[in-house]
Amino acid sequence: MSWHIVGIEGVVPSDAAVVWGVAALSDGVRLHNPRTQVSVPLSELPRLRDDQHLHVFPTAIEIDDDDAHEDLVVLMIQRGTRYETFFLPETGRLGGVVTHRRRKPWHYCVFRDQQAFSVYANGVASQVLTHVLYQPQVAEEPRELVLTALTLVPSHPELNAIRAYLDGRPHVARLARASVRSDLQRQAFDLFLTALQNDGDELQLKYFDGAAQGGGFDVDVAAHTLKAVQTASGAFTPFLERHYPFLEKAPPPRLRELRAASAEFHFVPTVEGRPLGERVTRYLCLHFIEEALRGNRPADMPHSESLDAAIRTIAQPAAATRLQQKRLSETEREDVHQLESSEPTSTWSPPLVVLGVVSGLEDDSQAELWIGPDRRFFVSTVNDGAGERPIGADVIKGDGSFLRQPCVFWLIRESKSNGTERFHLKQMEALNLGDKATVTALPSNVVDGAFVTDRSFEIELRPNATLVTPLGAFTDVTARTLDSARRWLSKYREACKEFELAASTRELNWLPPTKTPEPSSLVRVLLVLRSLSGGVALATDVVAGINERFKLVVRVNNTRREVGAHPDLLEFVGADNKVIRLTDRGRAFIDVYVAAGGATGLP
Amino acid sequence: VPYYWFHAFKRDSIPDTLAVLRSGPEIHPSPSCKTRQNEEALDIVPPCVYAYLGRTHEAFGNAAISLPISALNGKVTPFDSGGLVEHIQPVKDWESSARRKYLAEFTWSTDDLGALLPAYPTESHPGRRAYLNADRPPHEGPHAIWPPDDASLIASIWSEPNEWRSWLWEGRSEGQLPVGDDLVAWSCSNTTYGSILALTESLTAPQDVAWAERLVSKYVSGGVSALIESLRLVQEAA
Repeated sequence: MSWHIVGIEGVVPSDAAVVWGVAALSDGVRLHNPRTQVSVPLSELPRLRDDQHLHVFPTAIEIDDDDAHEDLVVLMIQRGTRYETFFLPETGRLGGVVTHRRRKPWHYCVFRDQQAFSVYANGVASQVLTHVLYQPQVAEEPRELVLTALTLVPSHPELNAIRAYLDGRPHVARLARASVRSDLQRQAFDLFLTALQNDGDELQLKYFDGAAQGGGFDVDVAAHTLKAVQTASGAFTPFLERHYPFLEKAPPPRLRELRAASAEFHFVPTVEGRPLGERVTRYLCLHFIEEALRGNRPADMPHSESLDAAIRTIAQPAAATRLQQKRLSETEREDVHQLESSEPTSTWSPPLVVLGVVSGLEDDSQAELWIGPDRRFFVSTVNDGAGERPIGADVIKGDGSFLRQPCVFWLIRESKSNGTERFHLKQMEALNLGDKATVTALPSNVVDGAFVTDRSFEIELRPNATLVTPLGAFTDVTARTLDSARRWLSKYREACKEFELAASTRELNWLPPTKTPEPSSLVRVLLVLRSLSGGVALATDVVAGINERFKLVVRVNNTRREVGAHPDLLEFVGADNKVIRLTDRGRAFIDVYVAAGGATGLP
Repeated sequence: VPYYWFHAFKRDSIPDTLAVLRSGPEIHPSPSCKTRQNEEALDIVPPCVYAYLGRTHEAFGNAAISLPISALNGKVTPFDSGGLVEHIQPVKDWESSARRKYLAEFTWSTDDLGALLPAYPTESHPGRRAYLNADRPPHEGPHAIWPPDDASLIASIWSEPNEWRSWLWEGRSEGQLPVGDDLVAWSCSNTTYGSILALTESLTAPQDVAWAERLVSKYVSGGVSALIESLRLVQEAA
């Protein structure tokens, strides 16, 4: 049977810049709607076209039989329009693209499903935001671009905020806010719009008593306090990079005014002549610092001891010293209370369904799970964290025959604010020959402790003891010996790593690690190169960047050594080894590292 | 009642599209349109606006609204009435008077829906899910649930070769299907949505802005099929 996409749902105005919608699929006999799963005789196509229920392509797009059962979404970009470059997908890098065609005047791109399209659409939103935030002057032009991008992602909080900002009229701000859906998204909209609109705000820190007693402030205390502000700002950088991928590197906080006699520090988002995006970034950093001083932290931000310490220092830089802060957008100062060390609070991950083995038992109530060569931990087999016995855990007892048998584990990760974590086993399924299962998470092989999430991988343990997954096939997985388990788990890990690096960061989601590991010397080189133009720089510049960013004293030879040790990630340009460049794989690696929540600056 | 009415529509201008979203669709003005011809053939008087329970009547669409079941006051039938003229076998081949009689036999007031829906598609979750998935009912036709006194009105319209529109509940509202504050959700193609966004920005009267806020908050991205699919899950889970 030959399948074709014969059209797209809805109308396609001839002057449209971007059109997307559900594909109209034909098998030559019937017309199928892949989203609603209904079909009608193909003979109805002319009527549906004439009634403007769908647009019929001049030439149908042929697709593979395997793709015909997907929830196909068609994207059409009009060639030669002003914003074509913003909307043209990078089909080579973007996952989930089934096929693409160029047929005047349209560029057609077919996505496997809505999720794949959403990845593309959110990427477009980020590009548009970067363009508007960092162009030299905000002009009238971007409004049309923003409105067009909103037809791809109507409820995007920051895109709606920039729409409201560019328009400036209050009723448009109301409409933009109404387009955003959940309470969390509305909070994100409000914060971003405030960051865009308020260019005269200050965060003021005013100290009393203690080190400020008698007027003025001891220099060492002042220096200590400013250092803590810088540390706190740096601690929020990975969070900002993850949540606001369209913002460029966060600059350090700008101290506008220091009233030594009054022990007052005034920090501002606005710096004359700098782009709007920089102001927004500074604003967000200061916002998160002032919120941290009130004891509030973004829910999905990993615990950071250094941030806690910095916030405690800002709140009380010396004994008996009191702090009041005037927050951005506020007019009155408020008392800041010293943050007390309290019982660590917990946050729970969504369910992580992972592949692995039971590698040991402490007693019948504690099993060691092995989900990758370096990822082993104990879970309770009698308490799933809610007082119930994990489903399927009754196999973990007796003669140990379950050991190192391929299993699928449903896990919840409990992350504590003190940086510790534990996993709760909710359910497990030991795979027998012929069994099929679904895995939704992979341990990250780029950032220790992180997980690739929100994916769905169908796996099957074939009768010949081969585990077949979309990432590859792994043979002899049922031998249950230590060597056998180590072998196939290592291969599985490698396959996961290749998948993680091959996919665009826009396509994947990560659960960040509970505690952000310090960046290795390799990662420091990659991070600095990533921040430099084109990922290529003089080795001396890379070293200078590392020393500035991480307050280290490394030498050029250390950096050259990393190139030699990791030729897949780094390479020299020219024979004199003076210039270092990221390889394509190196760029993918460091992009994933940042997206997965790896540390990008000083802790 | 865990179902919504759906009405798909296409207007030639954005103001006309907004008028439908604000006040509700009115009958097609052309006396020669197919709907009017079918109404004449079936003696449906006065002309009506049509909506369908659980999904739209067409497999694709440019724009659609969904309304709660209480929003439509009029008549209902457990099939697409226009199909009796166009494609539902064997009724489409009957004499005109017989087709009219058939329609009248299986037409009820919307007030009766509370009693009708437990019979078809039943209150059970599998029954509801099957209906929302447009699966073929387990009965040969409506006569198997509501036996007619006149045996000549027995027709297996839910059997092969008829298809899903033959067992889709249809609602008919005289003159207009009012929307008002009842709009549950709506969708349209992204290009239509872009034009609507631009037009709503020109509204400045407080009541207009308030209405536009409610409107955009109920938009389902992705077009008519996305609207149907997202509300299928809501209706199934209700």
